[in-house]
This record gives sequence, structure tokens and C-alpha cells, in this order.
Amino acid sequence: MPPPLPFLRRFNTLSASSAPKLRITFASYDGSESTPCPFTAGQTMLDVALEKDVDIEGACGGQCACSTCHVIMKEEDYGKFPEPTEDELDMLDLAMHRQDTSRLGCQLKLTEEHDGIEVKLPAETISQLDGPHVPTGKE
Amino acid sequence: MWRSVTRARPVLPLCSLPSAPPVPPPRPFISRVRRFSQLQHFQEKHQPPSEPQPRQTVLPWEDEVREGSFRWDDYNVCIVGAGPAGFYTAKYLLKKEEMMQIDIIEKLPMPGGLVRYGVAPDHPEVKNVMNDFEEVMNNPRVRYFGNIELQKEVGINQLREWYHVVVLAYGCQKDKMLGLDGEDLEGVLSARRFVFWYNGHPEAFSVQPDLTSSEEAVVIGHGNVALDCARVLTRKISELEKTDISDLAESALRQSAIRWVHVVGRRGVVQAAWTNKELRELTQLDGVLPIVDPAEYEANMNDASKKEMEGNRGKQRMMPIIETMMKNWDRREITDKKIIQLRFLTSPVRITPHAAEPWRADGIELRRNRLEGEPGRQRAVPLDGPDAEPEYVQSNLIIKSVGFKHDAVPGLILSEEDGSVCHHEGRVELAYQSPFQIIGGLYVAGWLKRGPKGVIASNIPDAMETANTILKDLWARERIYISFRSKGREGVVEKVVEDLRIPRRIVTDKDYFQTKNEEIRRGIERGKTASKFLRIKDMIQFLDKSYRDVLDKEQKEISVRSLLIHGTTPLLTRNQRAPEGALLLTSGSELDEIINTERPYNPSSIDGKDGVLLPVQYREFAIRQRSEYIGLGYMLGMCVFIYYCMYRIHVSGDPGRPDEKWI
Repeated sequence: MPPPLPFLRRFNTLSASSAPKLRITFASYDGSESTPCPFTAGQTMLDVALEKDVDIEGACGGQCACSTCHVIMKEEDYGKFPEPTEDELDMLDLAMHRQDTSRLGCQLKLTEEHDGIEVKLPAETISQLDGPHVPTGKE
Repeated sequence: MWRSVTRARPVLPLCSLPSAPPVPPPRPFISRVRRFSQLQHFQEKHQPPSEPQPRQTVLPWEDEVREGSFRWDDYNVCIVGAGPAGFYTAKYLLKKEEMMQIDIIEKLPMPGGLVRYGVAPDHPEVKNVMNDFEEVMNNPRVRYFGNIELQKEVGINQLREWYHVVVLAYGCQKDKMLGLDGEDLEGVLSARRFVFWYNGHPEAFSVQPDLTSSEEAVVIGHGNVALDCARVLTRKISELEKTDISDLAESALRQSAIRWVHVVGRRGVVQAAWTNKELRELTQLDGVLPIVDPAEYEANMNDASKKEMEGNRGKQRMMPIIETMMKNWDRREITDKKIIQLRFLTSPVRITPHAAEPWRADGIELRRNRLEGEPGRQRAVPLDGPDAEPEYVQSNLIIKSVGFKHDAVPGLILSEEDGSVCHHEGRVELAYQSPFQIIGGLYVAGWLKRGPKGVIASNIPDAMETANTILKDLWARERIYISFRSKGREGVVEKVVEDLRIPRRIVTDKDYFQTKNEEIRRGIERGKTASKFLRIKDMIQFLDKSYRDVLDKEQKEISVRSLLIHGTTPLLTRNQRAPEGALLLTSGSELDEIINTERPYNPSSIDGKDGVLLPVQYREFAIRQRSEYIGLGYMLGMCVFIYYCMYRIHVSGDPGRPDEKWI
């Protein structure tokens, strides 16, 4: 069947657009900014974030080979996803500001069950990286 | 006799005596660095100035911005080094500032740095970062120039004259030394060279590790690089040959006789620097048996080490992996798999030369250690007593994987502790000066900034910090050194090429993509993901050749076009095949048809006719030409009309209103 014309789409009650929209929210560490992102079941959390230009890196392209899609979940949401694999835990060990409910976004497949959850991105790592500037040389 | 000689001297008249040269004012105290920098600047110009230069008031490290002397239309940034650090810095700069114009220069022709030449070939998923970097290179505000080396082709001060901001991100170019006897023997390789060898780095083209003489190899060091080396040495060639491993390394590893690799570290399990992922991978390899001596493990798990482990989740999760390896210990004699033995509390003492050929290494002497000290700062101390008996491992291949070192840029003082450049939030500053002096417009990122450690992802917070600092300074117009000679980024390449003594082909981003595609094409032929060019020479030769092909093609098209314009010489005779990408015409009406209908022309339809060969671009040319004719006709009509009006004025003396008089 050909796709309905754009102006007819709003009258089409049978298509997928009438299904309830699934949504997940990415919040910055301190909660000052939050980005709600719509998703369809089957997408990974990293894909959803990259679509909406959330500040998340995903350097290895979702292969579980880096720790740049690190997200921190709420405790009640943590159980909604399957247990992390050993590979994911290995990468999480390298993540900065790791917490007990940390996961890698590329390994989290979203389903209808995950509608409305909120995840936090790890803290800005800049200020804590090197600490205060300490002169090292001879004065 | 003596008198006559003196009398023969010409006597100058008083008036023409040359005036005494002006006494220069006493020279102020200038530190060694400044003097060196000035000297260097002087040398860059190749010749002494013919007329006195105006006194330089802007010293390179002065915090001064001269408004008006430079147009702030855009921010010109040069990044030295196209590795992860450079690309991430570029990425964040582009993201946050629209006026950013970035040039990336690189010593090698191909960008990527350690992503291309450092990551092991059997980890292709890690190399996916390159997609991110290619996106940066595709940005119209970014230009890439490969095959330009800092301090050889272009000086650091030259760059600072051309750009507002210069970011040094070229990482570490040297190896740490162990300080052992026999370290410089043949067969002793640094991990850097070994890794470059199997990754096809141009500098490692001449490396020929001896894999056939002995069955054992020794890797010194307990990091991820050491595990990479051990893995590549033992992994099945049927798995390696599908990757983008260098062709030379592939054929050498095919004949490898090595079946036991010792990975030697002076301290224990807990202190090792490798990550769990790499360690776990060893246990999952096909045809490789990783083993650990339980006695060595027991010796290094003292109370202090256990305490170190307590707070560290990663170390705790490492223990099950090590235990699996200890279970493999008993199978070491009976297995036919290749063996990787992780050895703890073992230090190299000396590397012994071969008896008959004293220029090459024949084995290494190892010594047992014990751990001493508080948790977190335990040191390896040599054992004494009966256990102190040194152990000898016969091996012709010894790889030192004990870390990298910086290569100094003349004029920058490096800090002593870890060798990284002295900086504050990414701004380079002169060390050993009080108060600290910032060198304006010069920044660092990557290994040069934080020392040779960490994974690719560690560059992200680091590059963010440098990018933030740069933007802060640019937006505030502070700490940016602007010379009177600032020209912006225009003409940089021309400038560099002009100044070169030895001509070098500069590689651009277009060339990179071309080379990459060619490497993939060659790889498909050999059943690999890519077959890299191993020498700069080959790469440049390929680029020049494809460039010449393009030129030839253009030349052909031009000749065809001129034929069509100047005559009707048929280029194709009867039943000749038209080449691809060519239009073929038999008559003028057909040309009109092609132009008007834009239908694809089928060259096979010329059978039995004479024709004129046209390049595809002719269609646009003809359309343009036609529109020119229309324009000419229009102008001609206007001229006739104006002439007619003038004629009316001449006849009646009054042009009048056309609706009254013209009818």
C-alpha cells in the first residue's frame, strides 16, 4: 500500500502514529538540563540519544569497545534491563564516575516497558580530571 | 724596509672616515629559552636582515592583543598531529563555535595516529572512531594536510604567525629505556616499533623481527600494549590474515616458530596496568593457552596488595580471569596450543648477546622480586638468598613495552616528572619561571598534555578541556599572540611548499579518502579488510598516478570539445565502441534532442554510423552556450528598439507617447 499523503496522515487513525509515543529522558548530572527523546521499541539507548544530539559520544559506534556511552540509571529502573555482560562490565570499569547503576547505552535495547524512564549522563569530567594546577618545576 | 711598507699604506682623508658604529645598548638579561627562540626565529628566515628591523615589542609570550591589526572574521586554529587528541579537539571546537576554521597538519600522509597505527588489527571495532574523525575531516571548515612535519617543513613560530591558535597534539614519539646491558642489540624491539611493524607504519618498514630462530619470545611490561604484542605473536594466522595487518607482518607471522611468549612484569597482579577486557580476550582465543604460575601468584598477593584490591572493582573482577589461567598451568607441558605466560615479580637483568654473532640478542636474564611498601605505593625489591638465582630465557625476540616518552619541541621546557609539557588547563607555559608565564596562542592536548597513558576515550574530557580554554581565550581576546605578520590561514600550504628545500607532496583529505579506498580495494583482492601502503613512497606514487589519470582524462575531454567547436571531424568511425562517460552524436538535431530531453544517451546505438565523440560535460556547455545566444538576441533586439526610438526623435523632434503617435 502506498504511504498516505502527509496532509491525510493526521486523519489516519489506523497507522502507527496513533500508537502511544514512547519516550525516554536524558538528564545532565546535576539535573539542570533534560532532553526528552522519543523512541521506537528495539532501538538502543545510544541510537536514541544520537538522534536527538544529546551530549553522548559513542566513539566505537555501539560495539561495546569504549566507555563513552556511559549512562547512570535510577535504582528502580536498573532492574528493567537484562544483567550486564562481562564485556560491558569490563568497559564500565574504565568509565569515569562509575556508579552502582551505571550501564553502557549501546547495550540497552529499549522496549515498551521502558517508556518514561529517565537516565543521567555522568558528571562533566573536565574539572575533576587533573585537579588544581600544581607547579612542578623549580621556582 | 719596514718604513717603506708603512708609507705605502693609503691615507684616508679625515672627512671620509667611516663613523664609528653605534654602540648597542647593554643587552637586557634574556633567559636561555628566549634567546634560543630568538635564534631559531632568526634561522627560519635563512638570511640576516638587510636593514634594521623595528624593535619587536610583542614578545611571543606576552599577553597582548592588538585590535585592528587583525581581522576577527574567523578564528584560525592549527592542530599539529592528526591523532585522536587532535581530532577530538577539532570536533569540540567546531561544535561550539561557528567561526572556527581549522587546519590539521600531520607528519605522516595518513591521519588517524594511533587509531590507524596503534590499535591492534584484530580489534576492528575500536577503529570505528575513525568514522567520527572522517566526519570532522569532511567538515568544510576543516582542512587536512598530511606529510608535513613540525620543525622540519614548518616551524612552530611560523605556525604561530599564521594562526590565532596552535594546538600541539602530536603525542609521544620516543620510547622509555630500561637501562639494561644489551638493550641496543639486534632483536630487542620497543613495543612501539613492533606495533608499528604489524600495523604497517611507514617508519617501521625496515623492521624485521626474528620470529624463526627461537621458540620463545619475551615481552617486558604489563600493559595493554604488551598483551597486544603477545596476542599478535600467538594468534592463529587464519584469523589475522583477514584483518588489515601489514602484508609484511602477515607473511613473517605465517612462518613464525614462536610458541611460548613470556609477558614479564616486575610487580604483581594488582599493580598491572592492563584492562580486564584485553586479559579476558586471551582466555577466549582459539589455539592459545594463557597460563600463570600459581606460586608466583601466591607470592605477590601479600596483605598490602589485598588491601589495594579492596576498593577497586575492576581488580576484583580480574581475579577470576587470573584463576582460570592458573588452572591452565598444569596443562602447559601436554598442550599443543601456543602459550602466553604472564609472569609476575620478575625483572629483566641483562640481555645477553649471541656467542657467534655478538650483535644480536640471544636471551634474557630474569631476576625474582618481592613487593615492599605501603598499599598503593609498593615497590619491587630484588630477592636475596637462595631464591635470588637468576633465570635465563633463550629468546631472539625481546619486546620492551614499558611506555612512551615525549619528543621535545625546541623552545618548550618539559616538566621533569612525567615528561609532559608544562601547561595550565591546556595553555602551554614556561616551566621553571616565577610567576608562570603563558606562551600566548599555544595549547596542548592528548598525550603531550597528560602523559602517555589512557585509552582513546580518555582523550574526550581532555580535548574538551583544551577546547574550552581555547574558546574562552578567543572570545575574551586574551592570551592570544598576534604577530604583525599574521596572515590568517590563507596561503599556508603555498607558504610551506615554497619554504621547502626538499619537495614534498602534501596530502589532503581528498587524497586520504582516495588512498583509503584503494587500500580497501587491494585488501578485497587479498581477502583482507584492507591492505595498507607500507611506505610513504608507494602511497605518494599511487596518488600521483591517479592524479595524472584525472589530468589525462580532462585533457582528452578538452581536445574533443575543441574538435567539436572548430570542425566536424568525426572521432569515431563505423562500428567503433564509444568509451564510457562519453556522448556520441551523429547530427546536430541529435544534439538538440539530447539537450532538450536530457535522456541518457546509449552509445551502443551508433552501430553503423559515423559519429562525434563528446564528453558528458558537453551537455552543460551546450546549454550554457544556447542561453548565451538567447541573451545576445535579446540585446540585439534592444539595440534595434533604441535605434528606432532615436530615429523617431530625429524625425519628429519629440518621441511623444507611443499610444498617441505610434498607431
